[in-house]
Amino acid sequence: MTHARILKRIPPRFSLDVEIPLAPGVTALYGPAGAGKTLILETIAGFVRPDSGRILLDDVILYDAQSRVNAPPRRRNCGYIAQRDALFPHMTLRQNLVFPAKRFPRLDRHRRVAEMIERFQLADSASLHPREASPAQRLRCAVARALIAVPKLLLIDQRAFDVALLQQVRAAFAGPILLVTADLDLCCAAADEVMVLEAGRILQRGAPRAVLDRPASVEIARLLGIPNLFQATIAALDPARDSSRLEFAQFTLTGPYIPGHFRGDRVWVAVHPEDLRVHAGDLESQPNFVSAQLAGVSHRARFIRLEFSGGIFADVSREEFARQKDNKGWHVEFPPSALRVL
Amino acid sequence: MTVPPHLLLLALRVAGISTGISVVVGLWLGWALATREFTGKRALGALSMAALALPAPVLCYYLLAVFARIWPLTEINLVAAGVLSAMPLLIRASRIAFASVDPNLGKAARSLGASGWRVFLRIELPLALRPILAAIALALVLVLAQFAAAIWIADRRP
Repeated sequence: MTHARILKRIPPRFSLDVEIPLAPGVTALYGPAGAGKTLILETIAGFVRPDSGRILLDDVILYDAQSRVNAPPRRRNCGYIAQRDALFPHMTLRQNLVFPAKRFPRLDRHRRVAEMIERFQLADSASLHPREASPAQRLRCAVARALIAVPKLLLIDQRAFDVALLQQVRAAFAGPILLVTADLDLCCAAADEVMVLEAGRILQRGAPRAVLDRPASVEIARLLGIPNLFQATIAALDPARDSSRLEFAQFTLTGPYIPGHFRGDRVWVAVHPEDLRVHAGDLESQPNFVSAQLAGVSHRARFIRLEFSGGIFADVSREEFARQKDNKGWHVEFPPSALRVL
Repeated sequence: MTVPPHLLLLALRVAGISTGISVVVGLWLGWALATREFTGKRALGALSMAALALPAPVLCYYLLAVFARIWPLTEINLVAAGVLSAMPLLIRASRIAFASVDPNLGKAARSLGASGWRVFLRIELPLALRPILAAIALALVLVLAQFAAAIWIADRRP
């Protein structure tokens, strides 16, 4: 069992109180700066001593406040890839890889180093010093160096990680990986579980898609970057037809039935901008169509974000925008299935 | 005027021994001041700075005033005086040199299974070596210069 229960107070105000069960696979820690993500990793790696709690790695106690066990970092078997580049600058990339392999017999050491060099495409840069290597080569070398020490848990605090590199790591390492990231795309593509962290507390955990689709609170929806957050009053509930009517400040929408709520309740509704559809204003208005003025257009890498009056954001493809950019007026369609009541 | 050969040898021997002792102790204290937290750290840092600010002849005079009244002016006393004047310089230089080494490198090395000694010898010392070597050379020169002052003051002692 790999499990961490960590309590740590950092005066004057911050306190970390988390419980993290770690299964094999990638667990992503997602949260704003100052949420305590790096502190969790440093505590598990043994660089910061918690005030209380227990850290177990493969049933071995690394830290236990009650029995006063606190294993030093070198005995923890945790591969730690720090936020800042931590390759030894006076050694070549190959020497960096040899450093943790010293404890293996000579032949085994050379075999492991050669294998990592090949696996992480470092053959051309093995004789370079870190300052001469590219950032991507340095990152791959840092990963290879952490893996060559045969860790039981991999702690990654590197924001430059991409899906391809994470897949490579997963192919080379079967144990649990705890990854700090601010990249939701990376979470969805490569993580098995995501934990949303704020102010030292885990607000929600679950499969990345489930957390994104069903944020548990308006705070989590904000942390996940959902721009369409509206307060509404439940005007009608019809479980037989699986429908509800929600009254917002400027419009009324029909949504699915909302279990656990009563008529008259005030609720927050989140809508992903990619779930909204936009139509020309001269079309006949239909249910869940909201007439809106286009306030701004923001070009993104893969889509275009349209900002409408009333704080409504909709993401459309470039082709869709090219078709509709000359609209005199706009309707924004809120499909009932897109409404997430928090 | 020629310098008697035995005096030159004595000066070199005293400078070598006192610099050697200062390197071992000064490096250790400088490393501890740069990387560890302990009680009396601020006091030790301030003391090493104060000793650095004291001019060599004044330091020699007080040392001779204390030691030479108890014992005659021996090589051991001269080495003690040399250590006391070279040590602050080495503590200061090694403290700055070790503090400039990125602490993340030490963390990375320890997480890779390296012991404290291995981290010191393979990571921290090589990265801090240049300023420390410069300080060692300076300390050697300082002790040699101070040796002359010590002999001169000892000759004119009341």
